[in-house]
Amino acid sequence: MRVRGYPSELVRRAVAPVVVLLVLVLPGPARAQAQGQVSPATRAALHDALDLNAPAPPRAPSLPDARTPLTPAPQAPSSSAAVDQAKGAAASQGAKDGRQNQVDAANRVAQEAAGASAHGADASSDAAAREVKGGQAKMNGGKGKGPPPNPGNSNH
Amino acid sequence: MAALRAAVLALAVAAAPAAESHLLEGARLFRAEQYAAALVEFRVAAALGAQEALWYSAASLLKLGRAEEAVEGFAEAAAAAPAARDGLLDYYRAQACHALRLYLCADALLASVAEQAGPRIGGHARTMRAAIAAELVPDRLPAAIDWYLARGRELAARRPLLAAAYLEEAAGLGLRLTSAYRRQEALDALAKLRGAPPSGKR
Repeated sequence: MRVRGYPSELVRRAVAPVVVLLVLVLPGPARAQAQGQVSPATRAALHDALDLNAPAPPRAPSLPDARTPLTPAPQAPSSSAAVDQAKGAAASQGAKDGRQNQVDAANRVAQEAAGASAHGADASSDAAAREVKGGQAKMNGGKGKGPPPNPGNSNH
Repeated sequence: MAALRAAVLALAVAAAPAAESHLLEGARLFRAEQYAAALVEFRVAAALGAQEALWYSAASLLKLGRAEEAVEGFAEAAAAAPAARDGLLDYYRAQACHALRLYLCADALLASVAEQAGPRIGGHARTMRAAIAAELVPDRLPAAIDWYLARGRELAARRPLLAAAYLEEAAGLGLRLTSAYRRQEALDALAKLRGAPPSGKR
């Protein structure tokens, strides 16, 4: 007999195995991610990396006054806006298209970043471009796609 | 129905580790001091749904010397993934505030860092707090408040998150003076900023 307000037997039979499968089959990190969380192991790796490279206390503070320029001087080693936009585009594009296209998006980041530095960006943006390029080329490693890293492009 | 079940499972398994793998790769690159590449990984992870990655993106921006973007990034992370906040991330955020001369912002964060973080970071936090306390002498505050207000207003239309940080600093410093110097102006500007629809960062 079916009680009003309860799911039908058919629905329960369909849903229950899916729930059981998700709990049993998904590995820990995947399960955490499915819940919008990061697994403890990944968080530990992130924490360890941040702790290792935590900045030391900066120079003594200095309150601004009437002589302080409103617009701060460019901060080294910042990368150019073009490199930055390319990175953001790669991130969102990668999310849209899925894993394979993330590789393509990463390649575009590398190309655009390299292009930005070739068109008059400063030395720091060039360094950032090389970093991105190297990192993304490594991402492509083993997948047989994308340009190889270009370690020769470092004659600054 | 069986096909639907299989599809759901396959999607969950396939999508879930993707963000996780980008986070792990970002951690490895950050550890290797390749912050620009780490930033890309963290941004991809965030775009794939791991909101916690926003914190690490902001930390990478700080390490790249892009403190303004870091302050904005930390504000976004705090709104999107407040549960991921911890003493170490607060320390990075305090450093970003400090780099922009947002000393009250830095001090408030460092107060909790000194209690939550380990002995090394906690020691750094105490050192920074002592230096900030020595700098915030009342006779220098009015000129500083003028500057923070001007900077906040200048940024209000283009970068509301950053503008809010400067205006909050002005309001907070105003509270330290018996005259509450220009505090109401700062609060009014903040209210106007928050009442207006977001206009993007750039």
